[in-house]
Amino acid sequence: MARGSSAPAPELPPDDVIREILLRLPPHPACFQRASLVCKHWRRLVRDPDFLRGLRARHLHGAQPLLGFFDQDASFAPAGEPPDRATVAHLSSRPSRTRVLGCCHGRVLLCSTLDPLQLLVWDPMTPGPLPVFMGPRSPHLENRFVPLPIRGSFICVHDDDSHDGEDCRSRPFRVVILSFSGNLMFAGMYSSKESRWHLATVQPDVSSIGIQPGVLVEDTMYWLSPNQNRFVEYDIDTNQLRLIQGLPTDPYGPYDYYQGVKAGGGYLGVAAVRGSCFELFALTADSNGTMMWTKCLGAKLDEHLSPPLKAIEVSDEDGNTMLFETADGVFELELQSMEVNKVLQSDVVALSTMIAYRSLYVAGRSGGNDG
Amino acid sequence: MASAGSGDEKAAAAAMITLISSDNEKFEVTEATATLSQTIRHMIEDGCTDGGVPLPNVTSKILARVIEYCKKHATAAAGEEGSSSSFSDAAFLEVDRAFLEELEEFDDAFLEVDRATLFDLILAANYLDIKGLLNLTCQKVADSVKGKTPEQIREMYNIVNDLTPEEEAEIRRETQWAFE
Repeated sequence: MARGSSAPAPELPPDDVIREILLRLPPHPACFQRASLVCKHWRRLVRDPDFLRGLRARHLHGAQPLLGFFDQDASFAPAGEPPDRATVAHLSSRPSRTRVLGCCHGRVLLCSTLDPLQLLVWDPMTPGPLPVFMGPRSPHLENRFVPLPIRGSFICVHDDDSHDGEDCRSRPFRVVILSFSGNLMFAGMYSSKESRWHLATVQPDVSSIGIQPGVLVEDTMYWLSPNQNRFVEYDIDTNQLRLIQGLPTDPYGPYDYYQGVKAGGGYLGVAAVRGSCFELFALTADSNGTMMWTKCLGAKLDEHLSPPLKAIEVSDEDGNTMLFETADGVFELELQSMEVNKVLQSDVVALSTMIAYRSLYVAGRSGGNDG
Repeated sequence: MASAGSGDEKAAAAAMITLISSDNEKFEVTEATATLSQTIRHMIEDGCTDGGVPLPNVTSKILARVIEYCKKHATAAAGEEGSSSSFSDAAFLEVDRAFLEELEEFDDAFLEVDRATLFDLILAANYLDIKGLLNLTCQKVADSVKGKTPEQIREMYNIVNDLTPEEEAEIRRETQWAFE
């Protein structure tokens, strides 16, 4: 145990107590990185698998810490203030000629921008080889690869009993993509367990323009196209692809912005904004089985945010959040708690499509169990 | 036993436990106060508290503070039970809220101690298995560490940096996301 020699300094408590203290640090990975730089002893505690399991179990519910946002094509905008702030240089150093499609629990789904379609799973928190796999081929395209997806999501697969803080890096994953070619729409699901794609194809009554990042509700992925007034629905388990027509309106007509969200309770939701009014709807069935939008929340945002508000298209597979841009910066509204937090300063240009990157601390893999 | 009806209240209040500090000082506390400690609760359940409970790891100075905490929070627990049956009553909710605020103020004031005392409290809470106190005191230390550089943390807790340059380089290599 590392301790100094000068008399009045308190003696540090035993390991299990230091562990209890370190578990209570804010969940931002930078806190644990700094703790690991204090001394050998702390480093060993922080990278101990049991400690990391405890940390993940402690932060199982609720979103993981927001490290920043990827733009599809270029930059990374870090969230938060130093020292709890990730570096731009490292997070912008992804493999060349790739695009960011989605992020989940610290991992980033990339696709190659060159033919044929290739997907990569990048883990900026730990150096190491990237899992790479080819995109799906389609008989509708004479068995060629489907084109570059316009949307894609990375999904950590959990068993019901795996919620004890197990690292999802050791679990299988799924990838879901949405792609268009001519008058065809493709939705595909890759399962790392099976190492294969399931692909559904339709001739849809929807174009690829303006389709938002996907929202996963239970085992179904939804992509909202606000200006086409519909959702694309892809059931991952049954590989079925269909459209949901119509978005909620009020007596004044359509809202200014819509965003697909999880409404809680396994329902698909839509967050709708007009001016500083914010409303949340859930897609529910009435007694006749007809699907309808039911309002579950209404709030005025001007006490938190000064208008004019601009909702930003954001993909956040972990948190249930909506992002707004005002003259003061970018703010995150957490839909469950209705808490508003500033995540980007006004001097950071909001990205056209922001892909939220969240992660807990991950211990380095080199060096094994030494320390 | 904490949910004893009003008829048993006197009996419950009368059930006193003697705690004996490492420096042999005796403290008389109610069972409701003492059983905030899981360690003591188990001793009571096993019937080994006759003649007092020796706590060789806890000094009288620290034990007095721990008992102060337990007394306050045992009252809080009893208050919560009492009000839960009439939760629809706004007046009760108001009382609850006021009490919770008071409890928070108590906790804040309770934590106004030097670091050595804080660590002694953590050790006692750990040994006596008092969840609330352990959480409160550990959180206080965690809050003091948050946002601090490794150098500042070492200075605060008088820790010697024994990491070799190679180990520091390895940490930096493993956590490139954290370095400009």
